[in-house]
This record gives sequence, C-alpha cells and structure tokens, in this order.
Amino acid sequence: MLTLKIWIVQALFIFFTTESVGELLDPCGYIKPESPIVQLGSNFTAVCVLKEKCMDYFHVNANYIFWKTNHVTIPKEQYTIINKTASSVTFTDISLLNIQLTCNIRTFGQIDQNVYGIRIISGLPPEKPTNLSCIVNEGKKMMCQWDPGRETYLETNFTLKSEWATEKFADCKTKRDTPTSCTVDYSPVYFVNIEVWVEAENALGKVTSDHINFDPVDKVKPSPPHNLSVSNSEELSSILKLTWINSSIQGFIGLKYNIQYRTRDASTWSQIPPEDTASTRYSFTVQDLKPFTEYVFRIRCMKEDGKGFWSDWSEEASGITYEDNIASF
Amino acid sequence: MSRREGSLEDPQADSSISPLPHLEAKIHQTHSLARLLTKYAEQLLQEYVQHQGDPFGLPGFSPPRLPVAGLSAPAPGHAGLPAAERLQLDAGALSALPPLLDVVRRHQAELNPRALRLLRRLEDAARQARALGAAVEAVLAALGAETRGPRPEPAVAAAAAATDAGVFPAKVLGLRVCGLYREWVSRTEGDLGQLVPGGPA
Repeated sequence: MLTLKIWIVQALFIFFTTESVGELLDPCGYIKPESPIVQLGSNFTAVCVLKEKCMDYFHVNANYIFWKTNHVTIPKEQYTIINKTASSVTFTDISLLNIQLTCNIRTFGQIDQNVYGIRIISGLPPEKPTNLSCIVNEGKKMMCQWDPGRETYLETNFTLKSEWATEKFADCKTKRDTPTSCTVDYSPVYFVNIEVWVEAENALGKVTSDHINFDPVDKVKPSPPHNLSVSNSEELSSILKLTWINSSIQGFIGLKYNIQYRTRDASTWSQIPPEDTASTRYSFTVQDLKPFTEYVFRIRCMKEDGKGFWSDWSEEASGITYEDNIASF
Repeated sequence: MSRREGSLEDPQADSSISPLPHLEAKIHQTHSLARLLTKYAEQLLQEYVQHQGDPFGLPGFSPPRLPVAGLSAPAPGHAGLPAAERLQLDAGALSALPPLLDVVRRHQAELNPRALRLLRRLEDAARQARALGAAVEAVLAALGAETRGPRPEPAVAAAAAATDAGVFPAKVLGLRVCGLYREWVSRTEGDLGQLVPGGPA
C-alpha cells in the first residue's frame, strides 16, 4: 500500500511538472555539441543552454547550472557563464574514453534537476597502415594484410583499394572480425601490374598507407605438387625415383622445388640440394640411399625465380629401396 | 640470346629502336599475359558454344565469318608486317573488343541468365582485353612507335542493334566476337613472342 502511494505521488509530480513546461519529454535545455567524439589529450568545451520557459518556471538562470561527469560534480573553476541562459564547461587533456556529462540546475534551493545529458567519446585518429603485403593462393582471390597502427579506441574502418592502369576495382571493406586483412572480390589476373593501398578512417581522421605496385604472379602461393609416388629400381638398390603432378599454374610460370626425405624411423628431414631442383620438372631420382630401407618423401614448390611463396608440403609418399644384390649372395 | 645481353632484334623493326632492360621485362610480361589470355579465350569460346544449343557446336556448323562492327580477323598478311605495325593492329583490335564483349554479355544475360560462369568469363574477358591492349600500347610507346586510339562507339551500337532482330543473330554475334577475341589475343601472343629475347625470329 505504501509503495503504491509513493508511486502515485511520483507520477503526479512528473505529470504536473511536465504539464507546466508543455510536452511530456520536453527538456529544460540542451547541450552542444550533442554527440562529440574528441581526441584523447585534447581540450573540450560543452555549452548548456537553458530554455526561457524553464528559467521562468524554476526561477533560474545560467548561474544555477552545475555540471557532472559520471555522476561526480565538476568544480566551478571549470565553468564559464556565457550569458543569462548559457554556461560552458571546459576539460583539458581528456584522458577518459567514455564520459557521461550532464548539465543540471538546483531549483528552489534544494532540488537538483537534470537538464540534459550527453556522452563524450574520446579516441585517436588512425595511424598510417604499414607493412602492406598481398598473397594469391593458387585458384583463390588475392588477400592483402597490413599493420593497422595504434589502438584508436574508436570504430575505425579499413578499406583496401586496388587498380590497374586501365581501371579501378571495387573497394574491399574489411569485416569486423578481420580488420587488418581483406580478400578482394575479383579473380586475379597474372601479368598485369596492380596498385594496392589501404585507407584507414574514423571520426577523427583519415589516412592512407603507402601504395604497392606488383604483378600478382609474383605473389603466388602455388598448390602443392600432388600424386607423389615413389618407385624403386631392381638394378640399383641405392636409388628411388619420385614422380608427381604439378598444379595447373605450371602452365604459365616456371617452378622450383624443395624435396625432403627421411627414413621411416627418423625424426629429421634431409633435403635434396635446391640447385638440383631449380626448374620445372615432374620426377626426380634420389641417389645414395641405403639398400632395403624405407624412405618417406615430401615436396613443395614455388615460382622459379624465388618471387612469391612456397606451397604447402605435398602429401608424404614412401618407398623401399631394393635389396642389395651383392649382399644377398 | 640471354635476357641480359644485347638488344631485342627484330629484322623487320626500325634499326634505331634500342629496348632497355625495363622494356624487355615489359615485353616479357605482356607476352606472358597474351599467352595466358589465349588460354582463357579458348575456354571462353568452348563455354560459349556449350550454352547456345544446336546447331552451335555441331561439327558441320560454320556461320559466315563476317566483320563485326568493322573488326575483322587478323589479315593473312599480318605476320609479314613490321613489328610495330603488327602491334598497332593488335592494340586497335584489343581496344575494339571490350565493348563488343560487353554487348555479348548483355545478350547472354538475357538468353542464358543461369550461365554464371559464362557471364563472368565474358566480363573478365572485356577487362583483360583492355589490360592487354594498354600493355601493348605501353610497349609501342617504349619502342617509340605510334599507338592507335580506341575505336568509335557507334560501331558497337550498330552491332547491338543488328542483333535485336532475333535470338539466332545474337548468338552468332557472340560466337563471332568470342572467336575474334581468341584470334587477336593469340595473334598478339605471336607478335610479342618475336620481340622476346630468344623467341622465334
């Protein structure tokens, strides 16, 4: 019963108060700016302007205004009375990221009333993105990534831009969960130089990375060779012959390889000298192996001139060298 | 001849032309592009034929190989022309092809709206033809030869209007354009191949 009575009194107070000043939600004044975004470390001034109706009804003027941040009253030394209706408050060297600022008046000597409230968001403009690099996984679209620079504490959008000399491509806008990389929407065209850069923008500024210009064929990560198979030789017990199928990219670029091998129970790999596998091929005979021993092999490839990225390793394949004919006698 | 030795010698070229290493790289890159696009053009033509239905693709089907909007196939005497002139003709054809490919794509979007890969290939072909044409013009400029400007649009409008007469003419136009695209990128590959060090004379 008591709770109901208290509720009725509060409701009547609100009704009569709002009836006196007009519409139900008509505030007593307003703050400018309304939704500021300010740079950390900078100064900021807000102005509260009282409405004439409110001033008349409550018998107040700008001298009756007091400011609060996050419910803590700000010292009067930070206020400036601009005129009869307006008071400002100044903050120097803002360091908080999110401030609730309210303009309030003391009415009838004892009742504090909220006039208006805003939220001050602070942060930093974006830094220039750096270390922009791109990769083209064979058969897939180009993906570029970069270092975004410092934390801005604000929503910052990164846009990857790209163009040929003859036309511009659509902007690649990063997704929220991957703000420092973007996969373009178009298929790569090898042998046409493309210029790529990143724009970073938030409410406090916009900045562009250095441009990079390259042929996508020099950024390829090929698919690994597949169908790796191993065959032995009855005549030579120290060799095994590897054969494999290169991916389709070998139709227009030369490839080089790393071939690694180990015995079945070994933990470390040995590698064929790279100079022996420095151009496109489909087989390789590994020599100087131990007779009647199982070896495991794997192979990877990249563009012959060393530009781009190594492919993943192929599936492993194994074979057993033939028995040594001399020893079997 | 190694890539780092001497100059690119074309017996039919102007003797005052002296390519720089950068030019060699550009020629090599453009030749590689032409080779790649020749492969793509073959795939485009095959895919185009597959989507048009009979009689397209039937062994005996051979519509007239008429010029399209003033663009003909490479002339029989093309290979005998000086290198710069061959490349100028290549560049001219490559600049005429993109709008024609766009017309074909628009027709195919109506005739075969579900042939998404064909539509994408046609769009890519127009873009790639522009890129190859620009690259050839860059080679010409570096060689000190004149470049050829783009063809006037009204020829393309005429091509589009002519096919409003029906589905079959539109399909024939597309077949012709895809065929011309293949012929000209292949021709460009051959012409650039003669400039690549170690290439055929």
